[in-house]
Amino acid sequence: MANTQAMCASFKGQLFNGFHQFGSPTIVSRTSLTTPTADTFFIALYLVSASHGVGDTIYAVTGETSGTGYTAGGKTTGAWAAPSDNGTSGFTTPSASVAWTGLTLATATDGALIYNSTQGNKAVSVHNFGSTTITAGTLTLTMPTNAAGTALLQVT
Amino acid sequence: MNEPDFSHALIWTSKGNMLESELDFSTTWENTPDYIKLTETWVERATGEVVKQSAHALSKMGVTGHGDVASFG
Repeated sequence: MANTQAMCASFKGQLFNGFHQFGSPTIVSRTSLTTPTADTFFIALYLVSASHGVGDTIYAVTGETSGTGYTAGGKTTGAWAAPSDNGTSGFTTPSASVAWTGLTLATATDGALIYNSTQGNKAVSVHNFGSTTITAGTLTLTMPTNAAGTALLQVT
Repeated sequence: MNEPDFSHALIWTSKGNMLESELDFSTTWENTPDYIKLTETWVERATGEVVKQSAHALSKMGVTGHGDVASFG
């Protein structure tokens, strides 16, 4: 038997909860050091012509979609499932769908940026749902199953 | 009891409330490895104009960051 080099799965899940702090960044207070409140996350929509992705560091209006029923900055994701791990991966997903009603997006939109509005709008992830236009209708973004292999955010 | 008369049903569109009987409704599905999307489209029959369109996208999987560790030295 030998030891196997690995990043512990429990650590991956704990990253989503901020259990570990290797540096000393300036963060916005979460009220309590021992029982901190959850941050608030938003989801903003972007035009097909925009080029958001892995290089994003912060929410930006560049390339953000616009139209009746859409407010710059997007909407809150609501609460997230309690971050967990399955022994291999850590993961979490918003608990509910996000929907815009009474919406008109005349210009094709395909991107969604999730960002942390509590912590200076720091970027979390970018998602693509295919070129979409909306006319006096509804755009619904339904979340995947919160499990290893499918969760919206995973560390493997 | 009389059945509802759906021939006079109204639907909210870019032109305000319109008779549903004046519209053509269609759906399209887009199925990719990352998402599946249903698009609902209402077209005004007289003009061919899209007066209402909705989309509902289900993310099949999210994004993954890969953690890694290195050996000493």
